Amino acid sequence: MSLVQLSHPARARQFLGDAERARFHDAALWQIRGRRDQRVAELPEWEQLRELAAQIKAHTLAELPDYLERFEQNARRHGAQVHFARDAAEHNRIVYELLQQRGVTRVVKSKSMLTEECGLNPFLEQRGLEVVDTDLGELIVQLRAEPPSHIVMPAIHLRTADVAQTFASTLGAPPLADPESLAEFARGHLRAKFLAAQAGITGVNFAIAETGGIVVCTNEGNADLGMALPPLHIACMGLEKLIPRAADLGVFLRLLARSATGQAITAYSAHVHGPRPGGELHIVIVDNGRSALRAEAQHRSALRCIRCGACMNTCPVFRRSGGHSYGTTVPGPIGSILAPLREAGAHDSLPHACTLCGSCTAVCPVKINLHDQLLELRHRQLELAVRPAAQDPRRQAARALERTGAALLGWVLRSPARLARAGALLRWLGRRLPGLARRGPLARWTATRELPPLPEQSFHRAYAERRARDSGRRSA
Amino acid sequence: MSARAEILAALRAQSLAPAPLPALSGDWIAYPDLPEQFERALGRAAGSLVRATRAGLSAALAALPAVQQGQRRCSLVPELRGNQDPPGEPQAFRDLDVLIVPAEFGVAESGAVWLGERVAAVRAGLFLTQHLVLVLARENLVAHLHQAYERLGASAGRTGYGCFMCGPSKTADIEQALVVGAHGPRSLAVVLWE
Repeated sequence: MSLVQLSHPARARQFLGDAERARFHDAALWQIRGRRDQRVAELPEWEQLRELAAQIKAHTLAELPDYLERFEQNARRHGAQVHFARDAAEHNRIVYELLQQRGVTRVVKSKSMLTEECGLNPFLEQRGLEVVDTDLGELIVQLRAEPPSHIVMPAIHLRTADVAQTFASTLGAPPLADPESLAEFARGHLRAKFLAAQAGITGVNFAIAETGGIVVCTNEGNADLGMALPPLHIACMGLEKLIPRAADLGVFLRLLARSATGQAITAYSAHVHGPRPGGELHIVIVDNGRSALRAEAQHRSALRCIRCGACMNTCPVFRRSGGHSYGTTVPGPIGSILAPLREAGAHDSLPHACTLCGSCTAVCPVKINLHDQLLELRHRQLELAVRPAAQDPRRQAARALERTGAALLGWVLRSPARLARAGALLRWLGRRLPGLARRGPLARWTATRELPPLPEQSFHRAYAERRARDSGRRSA
Repeated sequence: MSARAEILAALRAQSLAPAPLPALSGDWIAYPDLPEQFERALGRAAGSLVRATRAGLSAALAALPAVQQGQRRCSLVPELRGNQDPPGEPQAFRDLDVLIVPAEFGVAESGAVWLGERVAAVRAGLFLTQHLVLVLARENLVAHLHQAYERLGASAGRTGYGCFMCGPSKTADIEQALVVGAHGPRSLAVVLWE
């Protein structure tokens, strides 16, 4: 999906233009991070769970082709049909053909970041199908023709009044002022869509190789309605969703909701083996760059991600810049790794949307070393951008400047008198430079940084004066 | 080459160091009082717990507000009859007020219950009914999900549809304000008997 290629700082500036909204966004996500911490503190075995989850995912990735085949075989045993798609276009074509062959025109969809990644909604809508996103947050952003701004809370960037205005202008809702009546209105609107739907599309949280089942987690119950009512269920999953054993869910379901929203478990964790009676189940397994990521030794652990969003909720940059500032399907720390690796050169500003504080790495339930990987991506950019010095006149000039500077510094430091004069000069300059630097070519670095106020006098002078004062006091 | 063959070949062409599959053991939390922990966790998930004796189960079910107020009731438990039979079409659950079903076991850690084969006939009703009542025996409480999956064992893959359900349907998608009753049940009560 191509989004307007503005840099992260440019889009973040747009978000920060509304200071009140930005403050709310920051506080809301920090509150969720706090709830996560409460749930985590209740489990003394939290670190053991993280370690197990990381090991299970690392093992599954190492033997991924075998597990894919086992899953496929077992899913077929239950009567599911399994399809493979190399990329987004193939995925969309498979889904469309399944719908078209059965004369489906009305589809209900529950949250699936994969179908967002593939641009499934516009693809189906252009072909005349009605596709209704049924997660409340997804419905809101769909009605506004916006992408989700967060993978767990798609409408976290909006306020109640925005939602009321959206429902009024797109669905003809009466004026509604609070989240309860807005959610009630959406319940009525969507219930009619569920009952009339001819097909349900869902994502997949986990695919169990040993049983051939899929697990779908929601709080609203929208995926369960979409799977239970229409005769056709299409489940779309990236090939990294596999886990070996059903019992592994004991680890992952204990981690997932605690990390995502600070709940012990989501309201619904549906385990689906085969179609509902009289229905059809199709599972579409998508690569779309995942196998290439698996080849990257330093980055393949990003494929462990279970899409809980904890790295976003804790990230000081995400909280203060909003999900849309990333311009990717998956934003935040994990998205800043996935997007540049999938589309080299297209998301160069994202690895820099990071303070390297490491909070994401500390909360990640599957122990992805997110901030290390972001730093590595910066190194990679530099290696690609910088030519060897011998071929690059700018680097040669920089070297010459560096040598001159070092020589000058050496000359100053050799004489106490010169050092004192240079210090005075710097203190004088320091009071005038920040204003100058904000306008010049250095502004990219200095625009958002404050220089601390410089002292009026040197340490030498201050120390000498103090000693003089003290000895004066003693002699008095 | 098919997409399947191409993807599998690409994955097999990569050489990854082997990584062992760990055994699922750990120093899992133990709760001194399983019903108490279950009640606390369920309450946090906006569900409610009613305790009953074996003999008092019918009366406890009949006294639930959802049962008292619900016009159209469907029940899969013998202790309280409904006034509607499970319909054949899943969409026909749309007008149901209360659905009463047996839960196979509950998980104290989270307040979740497992609904499996026994609710297959009313699967859509679990989400279309306005209110849901789950009947659970005290002896069927386990401490945490590891015990839950141990108990499910191979049957995890035999049931066409099974679900860990924890409290009523809910959303916090508008300003993080919790709203109970998103698409599914507006209330969920667990009647725990021993």
